[in-house]
Amino acid sequence: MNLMSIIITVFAGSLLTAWVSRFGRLQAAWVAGLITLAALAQLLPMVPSVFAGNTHIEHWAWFPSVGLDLSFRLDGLAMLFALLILGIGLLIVLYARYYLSARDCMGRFYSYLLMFMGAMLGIALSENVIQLLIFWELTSLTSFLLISYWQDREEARQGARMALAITGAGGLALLGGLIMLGQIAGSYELSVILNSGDQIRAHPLYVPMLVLVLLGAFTKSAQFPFHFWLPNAMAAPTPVSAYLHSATMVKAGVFLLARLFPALSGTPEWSYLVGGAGLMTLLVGAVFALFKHDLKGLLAYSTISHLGLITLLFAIGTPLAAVAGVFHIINHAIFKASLFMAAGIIDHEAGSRDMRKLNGLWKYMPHTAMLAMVASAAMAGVPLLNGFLSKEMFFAEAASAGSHLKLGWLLPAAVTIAGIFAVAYSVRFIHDVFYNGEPIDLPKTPHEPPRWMKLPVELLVALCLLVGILPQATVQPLLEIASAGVLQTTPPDFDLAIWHGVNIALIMSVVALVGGGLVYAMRLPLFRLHDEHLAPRLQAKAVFDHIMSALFRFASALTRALDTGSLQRMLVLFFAGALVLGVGGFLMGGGPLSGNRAMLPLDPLSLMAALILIFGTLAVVMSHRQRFTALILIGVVGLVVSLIFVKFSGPDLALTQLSVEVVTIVLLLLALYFLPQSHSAESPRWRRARDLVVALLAGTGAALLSWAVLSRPFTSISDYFLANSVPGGGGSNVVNVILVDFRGFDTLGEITVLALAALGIFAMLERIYLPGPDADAQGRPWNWDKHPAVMASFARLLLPLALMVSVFIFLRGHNLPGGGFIAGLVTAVALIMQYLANGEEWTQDRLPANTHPMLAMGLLIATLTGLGSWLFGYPFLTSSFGHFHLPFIGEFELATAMAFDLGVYLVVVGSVLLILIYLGLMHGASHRPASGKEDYR
Amino acid sequence: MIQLSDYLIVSAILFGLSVAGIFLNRKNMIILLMSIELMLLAVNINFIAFSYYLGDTAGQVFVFFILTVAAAEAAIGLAILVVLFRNRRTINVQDMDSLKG
Amino acid sequence: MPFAIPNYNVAIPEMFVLGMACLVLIVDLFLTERSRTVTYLLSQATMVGAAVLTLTTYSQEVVLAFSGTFVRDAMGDVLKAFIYLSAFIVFLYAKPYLQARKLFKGEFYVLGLFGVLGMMVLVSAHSLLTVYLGLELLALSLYAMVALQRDSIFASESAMKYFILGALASGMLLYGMSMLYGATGSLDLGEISREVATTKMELVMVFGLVFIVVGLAFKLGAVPFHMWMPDVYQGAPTAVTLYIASAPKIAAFAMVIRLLNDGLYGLHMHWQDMLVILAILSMAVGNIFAIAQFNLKRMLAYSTIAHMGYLLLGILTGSGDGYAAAMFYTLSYALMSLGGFGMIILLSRAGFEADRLDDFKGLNERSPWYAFMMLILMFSMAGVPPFLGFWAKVSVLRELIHVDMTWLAIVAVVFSIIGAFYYLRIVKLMYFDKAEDNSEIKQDLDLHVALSANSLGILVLGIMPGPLMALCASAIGVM
Repeated sequence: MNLMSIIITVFAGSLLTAWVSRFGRLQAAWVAGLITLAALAQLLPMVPSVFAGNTHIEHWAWFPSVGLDLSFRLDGLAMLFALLILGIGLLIVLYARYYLSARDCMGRFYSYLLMFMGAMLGIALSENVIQLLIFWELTSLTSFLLISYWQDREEARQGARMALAITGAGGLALLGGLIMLGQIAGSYELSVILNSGDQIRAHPLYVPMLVLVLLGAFTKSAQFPFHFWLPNAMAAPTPVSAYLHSATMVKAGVFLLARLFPALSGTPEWSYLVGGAGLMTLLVGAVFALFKHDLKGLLAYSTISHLGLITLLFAIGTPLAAVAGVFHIINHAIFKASLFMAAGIIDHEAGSRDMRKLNGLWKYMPHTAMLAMVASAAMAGVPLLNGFLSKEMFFAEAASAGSHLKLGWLLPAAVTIAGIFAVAYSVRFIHDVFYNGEPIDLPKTPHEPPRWMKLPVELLVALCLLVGILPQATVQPLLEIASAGVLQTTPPDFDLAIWHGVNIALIMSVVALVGGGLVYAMRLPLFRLHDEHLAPRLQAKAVFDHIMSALFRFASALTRALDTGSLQRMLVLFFAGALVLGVGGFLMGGGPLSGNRAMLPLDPLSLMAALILIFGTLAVVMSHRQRFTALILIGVVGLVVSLIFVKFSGPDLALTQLSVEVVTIVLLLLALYFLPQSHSAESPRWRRARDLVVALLAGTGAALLSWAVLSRPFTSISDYFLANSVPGGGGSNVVNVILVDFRGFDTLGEITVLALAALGIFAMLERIYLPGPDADAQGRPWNWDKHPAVMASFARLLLPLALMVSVFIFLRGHNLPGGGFIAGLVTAVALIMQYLANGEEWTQDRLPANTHPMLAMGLLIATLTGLGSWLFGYPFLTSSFGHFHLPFIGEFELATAMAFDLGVYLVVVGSVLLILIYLGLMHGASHRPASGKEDYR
Repeated sequence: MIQLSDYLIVSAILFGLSVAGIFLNRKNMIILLMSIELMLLAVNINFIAFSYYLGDTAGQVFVFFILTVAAAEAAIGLAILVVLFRNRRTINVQDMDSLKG
Repeated sequence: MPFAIPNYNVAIPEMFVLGMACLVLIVDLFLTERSRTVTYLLSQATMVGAAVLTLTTYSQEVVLAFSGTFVRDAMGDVLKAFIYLSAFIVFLYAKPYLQARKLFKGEFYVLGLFGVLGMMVLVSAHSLLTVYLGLELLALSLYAMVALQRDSIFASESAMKYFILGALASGMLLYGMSMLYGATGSLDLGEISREVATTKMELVMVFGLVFIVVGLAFKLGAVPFHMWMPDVYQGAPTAVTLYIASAPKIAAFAMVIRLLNDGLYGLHMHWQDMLVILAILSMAVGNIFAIAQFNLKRMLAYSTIAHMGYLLLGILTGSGDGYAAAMFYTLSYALMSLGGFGMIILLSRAGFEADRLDDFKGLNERSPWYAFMMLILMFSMAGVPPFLGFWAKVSVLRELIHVDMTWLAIVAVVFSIIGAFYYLRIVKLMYFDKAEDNSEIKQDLDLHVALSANSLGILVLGIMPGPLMALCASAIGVM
């Protein structure tokens, strides 16, 4: 037997239950009951050992790199919770079997219930806190499913959503807290954490960690101000409410407080945060419970109040208070489960839960009434019942804790007031429902429920009495061992006698009982007061809804303001972001902007080039209204840049720049033909001013940047410069440098990008037709004589010449891949000339427009050449097959580099042609559309 | 004799101007494309100047690469522009707002 | 001296994908509409083949090739394997969507394969040039893919925006690279790393770094360089969105690691501060803006932005464990994102995109199974246990606290709480609202199987996260 198998049993049982439900309604209930029993049967053999003071810890490797094992822990506290979860769970299974109507799907219900039970067990038995958190969130999810079981009811859906939102979000906060806790303690294992309390409390991260952990605990156990989800969750089927309110869900929160008690308690922060929330919850819950007319509503608020009581006990922080807290956990679970079940029976048999209608049920269901009255008395803290004992301990602890404080009387007073209201609502539960005249138009005539439906209530009420009358004989050992689990040491001596003599606690109890009776007697004016003044103001749910809708409105407003889809705004944000990062980087980077390197004089030629470049660029920017002017200026800038390349002794680079420039200009010309000439209105003046400022800032940023680079003596560079470069130019030329495979790889990448671009354009433009305009911007008609004879014949003459040049370049550069690239560009330009000069019809008859195969073959050849080198195990291209001498070209080597270059050549020609032709083919106005392929809209 | 700094300043000015171009002409998509091309030219000058003064050819190889890629990129941009024009009958930047939150 | 062809065997998977892309390109020319499935099958075979090639030669060894511009290491191999997996799933999910919209063309697959190639190059980049090559291969494929649906106003508009901003970002990146080149005298990331560690030219390098971070942030979609994401996610055909939202994020993660860690680790102090700003802004903007969205694709875009914020948290720690956590986050995100967009494809049909939140109303009535699958995906994205997304968040937060950035971890927790609400809203719509459209969900069997496996995988990995996390840790090399 081990702990993990208990949990696995329950989870697997959940699936099994869902499956067997197809064989009949009740099968699911039977299986669920058996599964619960099986889990209990696995737990019970370990109980004696725990009573002997042992702690079982199990490890299973799970997520080692995060330091996470699946680990389980069974000590007194864990055992107490496991017993409560399984024991009360078993009763719930039995009860629900009779509660659910024929319309409800049993399989789904029991499957969810078992899943939830498994998750709760997981919390109780976890040794690792991260694992605990997982089960914690699982309870949020599964309780969501349970609460929303009746999906067609609006309030069930709302309640479930709210429960999930609050507890799920709390769980995320808890996650942060637990990770911090693990970091502080150095381990996520409880055995380590519980023993490093001093280290944790002294750590600077203690307070944020505590706040996050408490957020998790408070949301789960419905502490003020997160209490409102619990009453809304009562839209769940009553068996679920009974389970959630007694042994599970909300108890997970107080379980966590108890579990981490040795590690976290004992600081002022703990006392004030936990105590403040507990006290508020205690009072708010007790007061509001009285005013709820719904039976389950009353019970829900009473649960809140009792949870506040338990929390307050843990906040007090003395060992005895912790014992009292544990004791009240037990007692509350017992009487609250029975009360909810009784309320469910009443609802089931009378058809209403409204206490203004339910009256005098004693006559109709005396047996149930008796049970409910005993349980309710236990809730009120009537002597000889279990609730009395733990309440006495609570009063005593509150009184003694109060005596340490300055305003010492406040705590006992507040606690007594809460006690008064607790008695009042308990009395109301008894008197309003079972006495107080006759029922008022109930949908059904009430009667006793089936025998077996009452059994769980009877058992629990019997426990109330047993514990209340014979505490030492019944609950004392369990309480001792559970308290030891909480405190992680031997608990202090405590006396569970019914009579301790007349002391302050007894006086408070008596005051509460008498006062409660009086408050109940004055209930009608109080109800009026509540309805008129209190109710409209204190709607926590409304606050929640308000926060949610405010969040939504905030998000919507932001979205409307910023997410406008405007590209202009995107650009502004983009540059502003870069600027901010840049300035930030500069400030962080430190160091002066300007270095101390001496500036050197300029030479006139470079100055000229620089000026042309700058003015060219400036002109491009300014002349945005004349597109063709801008285009020509771009061409000028490109030319100057290629001159700069020449200056830097990169002739092949210059050649590439030149040919690319030509191709780009042709491309732009083609595109400009289709696109509208008209330009839109200018932006308003302020906007232009703003844009100018941003642009200037960006420009200045770039300039400053260069300044910073340049005015620094950078050793590495100047050394290099002195060593390698001849003054006044020269230096090394790409052509003369062997870059071994760097260049090959780069070329392969280059042609891949080119091919890719061509394919992308093909995909976008294939079979698209656009009518071209027939006049230019000034309204002058285009020349319809499309292919002037002079140009056509000239272009035809040019073709062989251009092909010659490209062959020359190809062969010359055979041992450098650049050759194929430039040759390809030259060929492509020559071929495009044919298109321009002779027209598409003429050219297409001679040259295919779809150059896909050429492209693909080229790429394949280039790739395969590379692969070949791999296959043959040596650098393939270095092998030469012989030298040839050609006239005008000189010596050249036939090597595999040729094959690679051929591939490059093919790709370049194919891509450039594909791009230009498909841009050119688009318009059908002046040219023949490709036959039958027109799909212009 | 010209210094590395001169080229870098030229390049920075080019860069700044192209940013200005992007901003001041945010209405017309074509100018936007051209400005981006200019920006890449600025980068090229940077690389080539550094490469020269460092005596390291890798920078020049990079420039080769940028040249080709820039052309390919421009071609793709134009194609997208044409498709957009066909659908919307406009290439004004501020008309592109059919997608928003 | 002749030019030598490089040692290709390090890059065999890349060569294979490139060759297959060409093959698909040629084969596709001879196919008719009806036999186009061949293209699809060839593409899938390419992914499987590449996976086999990569995984059979997997080793922990680091090998440099092509004059040190290309690196093959364990991290790269693992990321590549996940890129193949993502692309495989994308092709699979996308098929019915493309068929129903007359987009089932060879171009989608060829461009997709080129994109995968770009990602592979990016993942293996060990030089600024290779980074740029991979980036452009990927970006150009994506631009064209977004515009593939030529008759859609939204698609072409989003392609245009994507292109302008993308070109701008790569211009910025290049400018930064040129600065870095000037400051260190090398394009090689290894040499840059050595230079950065020894020289004192901090300021210049920091400026270069700024531009590079801008480029990286754009690729990831981190605020304030995120603006393309909502529009592109929404505007592109869902099949393409699916592609953009999955594998490229894995490649972007690699790119960040290659540049910032392999190249610029010496400037960690500086880039850490920048990433902190980006991460906080991303989490804030992503989570808050997602709340107000009505279009699911747009909402998922904002959710992605938020996820990128969390991913950055792992990276900015600058520790091996932090990178492993971020890698884990990236892979988890890719799987969740595939599932999320896969669900949109599942519900869509010709003429109906199913990309509004309202289209998911009442899914539980129509198909309880897929409502449950979507529930898994949403909860996982929200970071709720026991799903995969939870572990992703836990690992990242843990590493943050480990390097004493607790305040940042708390900020991250706060935003993830806000984020939980919009995921929850989808769950509410599916389970609680009445369906607007009750038509039966009709899709191919393979989509059903794959999507279910995708979602259940997130649950299974959530229950057993150990192996995946261990894989990430060993790939980064922290074991």
